Amino acid sequence: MAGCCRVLLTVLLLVGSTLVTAADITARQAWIRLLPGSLPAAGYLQLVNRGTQTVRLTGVQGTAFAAIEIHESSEQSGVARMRRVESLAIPAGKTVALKPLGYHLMLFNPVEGLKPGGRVTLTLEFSDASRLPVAFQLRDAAGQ
Amino acid sequence: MTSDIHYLLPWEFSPAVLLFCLLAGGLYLRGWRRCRRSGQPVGYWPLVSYLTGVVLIYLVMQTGFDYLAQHMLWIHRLQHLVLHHLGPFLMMLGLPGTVLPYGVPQRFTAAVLAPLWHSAPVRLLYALLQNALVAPLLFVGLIYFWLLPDIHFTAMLSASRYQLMNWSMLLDALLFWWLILDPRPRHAAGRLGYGARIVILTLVVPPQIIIGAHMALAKDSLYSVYNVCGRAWPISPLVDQQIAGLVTWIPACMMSVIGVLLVLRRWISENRESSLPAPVVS
Amino acid sequence: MRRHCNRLWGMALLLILVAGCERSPSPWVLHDISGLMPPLEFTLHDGSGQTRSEKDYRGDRVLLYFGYTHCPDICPTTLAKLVSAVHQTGKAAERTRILFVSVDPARDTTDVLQHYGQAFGPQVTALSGTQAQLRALSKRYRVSYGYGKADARGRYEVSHSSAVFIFDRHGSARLLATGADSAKKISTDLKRLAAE
Repeated sequence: MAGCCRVLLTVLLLVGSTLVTAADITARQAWIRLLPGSLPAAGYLQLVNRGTQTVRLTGVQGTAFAAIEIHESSEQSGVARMRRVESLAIPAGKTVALKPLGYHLMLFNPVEGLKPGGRVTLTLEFSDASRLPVAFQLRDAAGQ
Repeated sequence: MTSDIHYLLPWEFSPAVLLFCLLAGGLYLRGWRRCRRSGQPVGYWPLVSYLTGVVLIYLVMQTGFDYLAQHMLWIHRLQHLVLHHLGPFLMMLGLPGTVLPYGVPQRFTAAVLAPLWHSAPVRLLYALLQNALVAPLLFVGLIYFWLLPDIHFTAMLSASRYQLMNWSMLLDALLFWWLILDPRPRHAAGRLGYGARIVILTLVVPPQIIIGAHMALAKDSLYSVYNVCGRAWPISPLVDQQIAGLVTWIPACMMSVIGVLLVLRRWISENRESSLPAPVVS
Repeated sequence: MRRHCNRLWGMALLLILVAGCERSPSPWVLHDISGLMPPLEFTLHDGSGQTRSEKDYRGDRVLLYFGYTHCPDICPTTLAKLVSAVHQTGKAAERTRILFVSVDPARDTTDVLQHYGQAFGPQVTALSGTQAQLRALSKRYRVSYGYGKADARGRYEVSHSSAVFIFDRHGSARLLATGADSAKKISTDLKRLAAE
């Protein structure tokens, strides 16, 4: 019974997520820098908003990592630091880049078996309740 | 507890600073006691003022404060406020010219200090540094010199230049505030008139306002060395610089105001004394 | 006479100030720190747990950078940039080492250090040490580091200097690169240093 419920739920979720796919937001140049062992990885991509309304990236889901947060690096005070941000605004008609030394996804405890050259899909969640699955290219520590 | 104690220990131990503070404090205390015994007592306020100055100078140079001063622009400015203004100012209110001669062992004075003091190079150098034009120029010039971005960068990277910077600020300030607060009576050799002192104190104000305001109002970070080596705690470079500007600007200028008030008071009381009829000695 | 003397003194002082301000242009792209900072000296350990000191790198040009491995963005980006800069120097790359000093010894065990260094290639050695050793080194090069508060899951952030100190093959401190300097700029100066 429980298994049946879970299947139904998954199907509903899948249907639901396809129904509210972010039509206005597209992603490109998505890649992940993998570090050795269970060290946290960083995810980078560009988000383009072709719509007429500001949309906020509010969360990222993926089974390949234990937790995913949006972070911002800063070196401006001379001390290299990171700051967690709750959400990231993508203004209408603009492109927002998550790139090295700026905004990035902090990906905790990667599952074993992720290798540079492979791919992993993460689902981005937006403030308008839409969701966008994005395939991230896996790269090594040096970003190659 | 141990973590609290290490804030009081020197960040970078300097025998010179320790020696300076011990000698400055020790000789003064000895002199102060001997003044009392010889029937020319100096009050408690000068004692407290002088020792406070010495202790403040020691604290900003030889505790964890020094670490913060190396990694935060506004704390560096606070350090220089003590070294260039407050510390020497308080010391000079302690009448060191009266007390220290009693404190320094007479044999040492006779054998070393007096010949040195009367030697031509020292006289010449002293006359130069205490010249009514050179003294304010040097006092303000040093602030500007060490705040030139390139000079500041190297001073913060090099331990020896850092020492040189702090010592130059301290020693110049001792001379400057001695010139301004010189308590000796009229016609003492090398003593500057009260009017000239007020003019000097007024002249050094605008340049300090300008450099303070320049820092406080700048739109960009002027001193990149803190961006490179890291600030003591996370704070935006502009906020750091704005506070630094205000420290350079307001309390530093307040010292001139207080200086002028003290000089005026002395001037007035001296005039009053000289206008009184000479006391009749019976 | 007195006034005349005053003017002379003033002019002399002005001359000294002007002379002090004049400098010859630096041939380096990065900050030239020759004579400003002490030569390379440290006691740390590497990924195999072996004690390392500056003596192990005598004859090599050394790039010294402070960071921590649980830093997914700034540290790897900087290290990748340094590796790229070293590669661009061609043959000189063989005698150039990048020393990554982790200021987070609590999490950066020898095992983590070993894999971390390897991930960036043969030029990179990851080192760490006791708090006393790390403090001595950071004090020597006048850099700061500190730890943020741990969150519910025990994760904490480490703040560290973004400076890269470059030493010549005699161990003398020569150049200082900042986070903003590109790989190209760094390689330009590394080539010049190698040609000495």
